[in-house]
Formats: sequence, C-alpha cells, structure tokens
Amino acid sequence: MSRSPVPFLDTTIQIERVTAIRTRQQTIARELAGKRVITSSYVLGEYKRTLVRDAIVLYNLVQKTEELFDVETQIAQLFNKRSVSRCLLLWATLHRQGIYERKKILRSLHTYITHGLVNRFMFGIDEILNTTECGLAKEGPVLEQTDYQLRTHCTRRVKECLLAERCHEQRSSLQTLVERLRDHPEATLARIATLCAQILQDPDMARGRNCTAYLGDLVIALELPTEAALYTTNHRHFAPLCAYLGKQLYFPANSAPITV
Amino acid sequence: MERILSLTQARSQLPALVKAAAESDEPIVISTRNEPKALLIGYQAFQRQQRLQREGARYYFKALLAKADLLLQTADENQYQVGAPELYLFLVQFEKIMYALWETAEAISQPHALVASQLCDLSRLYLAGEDQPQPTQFAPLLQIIHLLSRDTITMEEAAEADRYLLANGINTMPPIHNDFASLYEEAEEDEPEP
Repeated sequence: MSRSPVPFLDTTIQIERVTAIRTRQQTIARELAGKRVITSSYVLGEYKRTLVRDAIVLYNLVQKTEELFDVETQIAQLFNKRSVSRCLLLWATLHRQGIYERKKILRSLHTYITHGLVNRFMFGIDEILNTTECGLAKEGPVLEQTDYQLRTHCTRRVKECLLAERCHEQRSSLQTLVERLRDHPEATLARIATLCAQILQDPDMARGRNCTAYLGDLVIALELPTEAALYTTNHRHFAPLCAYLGKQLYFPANSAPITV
Repeated sequence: MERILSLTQARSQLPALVKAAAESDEPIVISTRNEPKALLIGYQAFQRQQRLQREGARYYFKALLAKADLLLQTADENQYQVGAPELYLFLVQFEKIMYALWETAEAISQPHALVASQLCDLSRLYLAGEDQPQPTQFAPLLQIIHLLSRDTITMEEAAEADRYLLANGINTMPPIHNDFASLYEEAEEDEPEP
C-alpha cells in the first residue's frame, strides 16, 4: 500500500488479537502501533456471538456437569465438529494454565464473559463505527440463576438495526456482487451472490438469520469506509469481496498479496 | 449449647422457634435422620456474622496484599531476570499468594475478585512457562496490588487495570493454541433462510 490507510479490524483479527499465541498477538500489535484503528458495532456483535458465546457455552457446561472429567465427553456429545474443536481448545487452554478446580475455572470464565473479552475487543481501538446500528452488539451476558445467557440471534420480524437501509443505499455494490460472485467456485461467496439478488428485491431479507448466519462478511465489506483497509485473517472470503467492491484489504507484513 | 431439633419438631413449633432465634444469638440446628442439615438463625445475628466474616476477609486480604507488595518490591529492586532460579522461586510464591488473594477477594467485592482472579491466572501463566515475566513488569504489577488495597473499586477501574497491564505487556489471558480464529470463518448453518 502506498499510503497508510486506517486499519479496520474484522472479527477474525479481533479474535486473533485476544486468543492467538503470543508471537502472533505481538505481530498484530506491532502492525497496528501508531495507527488510528477502527472497527464497528457489527463486528462487536459478531465477536459476542462467537467468542463470548463459546465462553458462555463452556461456563454453563462446567456449571452443569457433575464431574469435571465429563466436560470433554459432554462437549463431544452436544456440539457440531467445529464447535467441539473450539470448546475443547478453550477447555485445554484453561487446563494448560493449571486451572483444575471448578470454582477457579468458573471464575476465570466469568471474568472473560463479563469483562475480559469485550475489554480486549476495545483495547487500542480509536473508533467504533455504528453504520448498521446492530442490535446484537448492545446485548450483554445475563446471569440467570446459575447460567449465563446471551442473545446471539435476531429475527427479521423485529426491526432493531439499519442493515436493510444500508443495503438499500448500496444497491449498485450489491448488483456488482450478484454479477461477479454468481458462479464463484467458493460456495460461501456464491451464496452471498444469491442473497444479494434477494436483498435487491427486498432489503429486509438482509436482516434476521441471513445476517447472523451468512452475510457477516458482506456486511463488513459494505460498511468498510473507503479510507480504511480491512485487516482480517479471512482473505479467502474478503479478497474477492473487497476487490469487487473497490475496497482495500490490509496485507500484514511479509505476506504475499492474494490473487482474486 | 446448641439446640437441635428434628425437622418434624421444628415444623410443629416454627413460629416460636423463629421468635426465639430472633431474640437470641444461639442458632437452632435442624436435623433430618439425626444429621444436622440446616440452621435457624436470627437475622441480626446473621448480619453480624456476615459483617465479621467480611471484616476477617478484609484483614486477611490486606495481609496478603502486604506480602505480595513485599515480594514484588523485592523482585523489582533485584530485577530478577528470565532464567534466574530466584525468578522461579518468586513465581512459586507469587502464585500461592495470588490464589489466596483471589479466594479472599471473593468475599470482598466483585471488582476485587475480578482483578485478583486475573492476577491469579497470570501467576499460573508464568509458572506454566507460557509467558515470562520481564524485569520491567514488576512495577506495573505493584500498581495493581496498590489498586486492590483500596476499600472500593468500580468495575470500570477493574477494566482499566486490565488495559493498564496490557499496555505494559502483561497479558493475563492465556493464548489459545492451534488456528483458533479460523474455526469461526465459515457460516454455522448450511442453508439460507427462505
């Protein structure tokens, strides 16, 4: 990049900033040092419904499992493959640190859930854009008796964000994506093209389950300001999206630019 | 002398027992199958006990903070280097104190417990060799110990303490190995909503 654009942190890089191994965390911190760093309320909502939610899942599981050694079995029995991997990695992390007592495990998770994870999301951020006014970003974990609850999905029937309006304003970008991504070999991107076509007919189609389950990358790419560059680990999805939308993607030092 | 009653006895004379418990400092023990199971205690006596427990916890907490303060000051003054046996001995002691500090902080306040829990996690990260404490980090840790010595801390101050430690290169949250972030890259569900 010839000029130094403002880095806009997406959800994957925010998760990396908090959870990656120390050398990786230091690399990210070095690359952001001295720059004005931004992110968005939508990214915060996504962060909460991924990392914070998984910490809550583990908390509730530890709370409910009679014997601690059954926690792994419960994880394997209750969740899908990727959720199992995430929960087991979180669990292993606590154990690697030498935390074996239920009381301390719950306290550490409670600290992350109520305070630590969002605090770290905010660390070093100069501005949080609120283009979509995401309702889920305002949600916080609530302790109900012994378990934590967090609303991680919204419904199209209840309007609590401006995503439809933002999509309507960006009709030409959506049209471009329909044309460019329609036959993309990557299924996730082809699905985004299908959904873009539906959103062009009815912008409200962007809200609800489509937004939380399938359109995360699109929403982030659309809300990315022109003077900013997206800082993400998910180049596979964002490289084509940003290229077609004429947005900048931030390439960390020593990494080769990705061909679309 | 404790008064012990069976559940059946207690049930039949509950109003009188409540009056007796409220007027006296003596708790009434309620048993089932000859085993003591619960205590009926006057509300004022209960409040007094709670206060004494909190005061005791505060006293012990302050003693632990003094120990931690001394330990960190010594480490700071001697600038223990990574790899030095003194550093390992320091870490073993630090972990013990931080664990006790966290357990006691639970009886003091939520923000005290949050900060103490993070210090406890940090001490374990150090002992596990996940992170190495640098000589420049003892002074910021001392600042946090001083924060804990305050009678009241707000949640915002607890969050600020975490950011202060991070800004000084002290990360109390353990890293997650493997490519954890990539596990969030794909959509969770298969088909879009019709």
